[in-house]
Amino acid sequence: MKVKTLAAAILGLTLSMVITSTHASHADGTNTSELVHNADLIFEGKVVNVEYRTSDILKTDDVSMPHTYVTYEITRNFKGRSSEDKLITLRFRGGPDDVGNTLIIPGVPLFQAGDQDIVFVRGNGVEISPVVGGNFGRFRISKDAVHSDAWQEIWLLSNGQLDQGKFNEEKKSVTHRIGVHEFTFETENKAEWTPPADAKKLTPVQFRKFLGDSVNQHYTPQALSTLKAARSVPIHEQFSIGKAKPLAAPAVTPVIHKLDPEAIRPEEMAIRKH
Amino acid sequence: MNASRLNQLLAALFLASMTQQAFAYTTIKCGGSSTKWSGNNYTVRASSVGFPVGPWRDALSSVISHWNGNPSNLSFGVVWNEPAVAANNNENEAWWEANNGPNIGTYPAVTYVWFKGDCTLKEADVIFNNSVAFHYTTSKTSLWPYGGANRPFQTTAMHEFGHAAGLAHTANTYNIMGFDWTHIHANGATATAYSGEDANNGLVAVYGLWTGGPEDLGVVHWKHTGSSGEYSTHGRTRILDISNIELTKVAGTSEPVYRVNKGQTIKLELTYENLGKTSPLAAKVGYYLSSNDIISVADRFLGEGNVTLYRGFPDTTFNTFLVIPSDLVSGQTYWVGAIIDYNNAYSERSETNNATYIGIRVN
Repeated sequence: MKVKTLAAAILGLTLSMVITSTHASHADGTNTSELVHNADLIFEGKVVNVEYRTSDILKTDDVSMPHTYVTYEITRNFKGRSSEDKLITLRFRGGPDDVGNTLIIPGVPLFQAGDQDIVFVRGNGVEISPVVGGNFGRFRISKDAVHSDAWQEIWLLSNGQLDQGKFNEEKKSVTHRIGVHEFTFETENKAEWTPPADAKKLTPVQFRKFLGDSVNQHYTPQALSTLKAARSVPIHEQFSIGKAKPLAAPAVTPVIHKLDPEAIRPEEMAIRKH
Repeated sequence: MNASRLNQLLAALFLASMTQQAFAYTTIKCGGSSTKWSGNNYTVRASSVGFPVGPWRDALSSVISHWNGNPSNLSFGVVWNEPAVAANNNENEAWWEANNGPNIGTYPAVTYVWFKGDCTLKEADVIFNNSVAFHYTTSKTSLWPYGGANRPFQTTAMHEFGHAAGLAHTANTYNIMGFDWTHIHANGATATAYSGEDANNGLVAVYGLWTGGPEDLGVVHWKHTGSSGEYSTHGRTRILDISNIELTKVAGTSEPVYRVNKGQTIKLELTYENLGKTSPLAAKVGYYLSSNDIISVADRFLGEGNVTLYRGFPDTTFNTFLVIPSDLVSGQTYWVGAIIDYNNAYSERSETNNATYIGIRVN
């Protein structure tokens, strides 16, 4: 193993441990190195199809769970490749079910046909969201600008890390069609954001170069060529979700437990309102 | 003029104009209206195995209680000892799964929000990952934001129940719907999760104002610092000199401790929140010097300020000038802090969130 690859592997292991301990739905912050290392595949492409279907009932205790299948036409690979070469279908938990309901999981990104993105993929077909960090690993590409999944500008800091800048003012209200319904996420942005010294707002060209350089810093061409192809998950492929298996809370070191003085007994809650 | 009198004048002079009506919460609309619970109530059934009688149940109970005190018409409730939980069973439930469990995946916590065909909320299930180093304790030294090893369960639960109420993530102000573990109140050794002004205001926007609701004011030593994706990030508030330069911090302390000189005029940065029903609400703030990290009216009074707080946008300000008394002991650590509504003008839902501190070391 080359030293460079070994170093990358050690770093990747270390970062994986960090990710495991802090990651959230709530996905927590993910820096550039973490994004690159944790991705099975990094590609640029355009959403050409969005479809929905519920999981299969293969065993008696399986549950029917809605999923969204997002198919990208890939125009460039930065790391890894798709098992379908120029296409990849990503499977996300959430979407319309078979009886008119819709499941939305905060932190799982939403897609529309025509979206042009750079996507960091991990665990497609396994993870609830196969985008690294829930939605951190999705970057929206337009003619002149790069935005986060949440429509923030992407800036490159002097320390080599990416940061999110101002929100796109035109995206204070973002509508997603999910099945037959349109869901609009509305926020009012009154916060001001001042770019740190020496930071620069990235254009798509600069972002692609930065990303290519980041991958090349950590992987030799040989290491890249031996990466296993990221699996595209076809919509007709059978899969099932087992029923919930509720467990106990984590085992923790006991502390002297003081009741929260504000805690209200459950029987009191019913009379606090109404 | 003595330092106390000077402090009173300075604080009063610079704190009078905190008036903002902005907001930043994110709501979800469907069919032209905000998605909401049709009965103005969200009651969750807690798994019997995950939340038996004991500290985890108490922790979840405190979260539900906090949310239930929000100033909107949405009430929260909990039913214990749910024997069988499941997603999409028309019951709101909370439970724990192992990492890579069928519903949690690798997330530390997740909320499944189900909408009916008419766009009203049908079901919201909250699932926690029991492989994450959560802890129910409110002992701050055990918790991430204060240098401890554990993620505060109550802040994460507070965030997830915000989703269950109908709120989405928010990135552009100090709020619980961003990074939850740094949205927390501490005065002394106890750190307490709370829903926060912005999320409370979001629920008022969706469910309407609870006219019989309580007043609640708070002050914390955390503030909005930026965003990470669709989540706000938060950091500790600061002490500055009169040129707005952050003072030097003592190295190696678990919490910020600023080096100050005797007689020095400093600017104390804190975040003030109006969490209750009346907006705007004018209140007096007392500033104190303490020999420990519990700020109380028994401490040395430094001065008074006035704030007018709208329930909309947490007000972080450093326009509070304080003079460090000249008779302090060099090399000793003290704490300066604020008590909002220190004169008890209002009957509040909680008086435990009215004070907070920042450490100083006297040169």
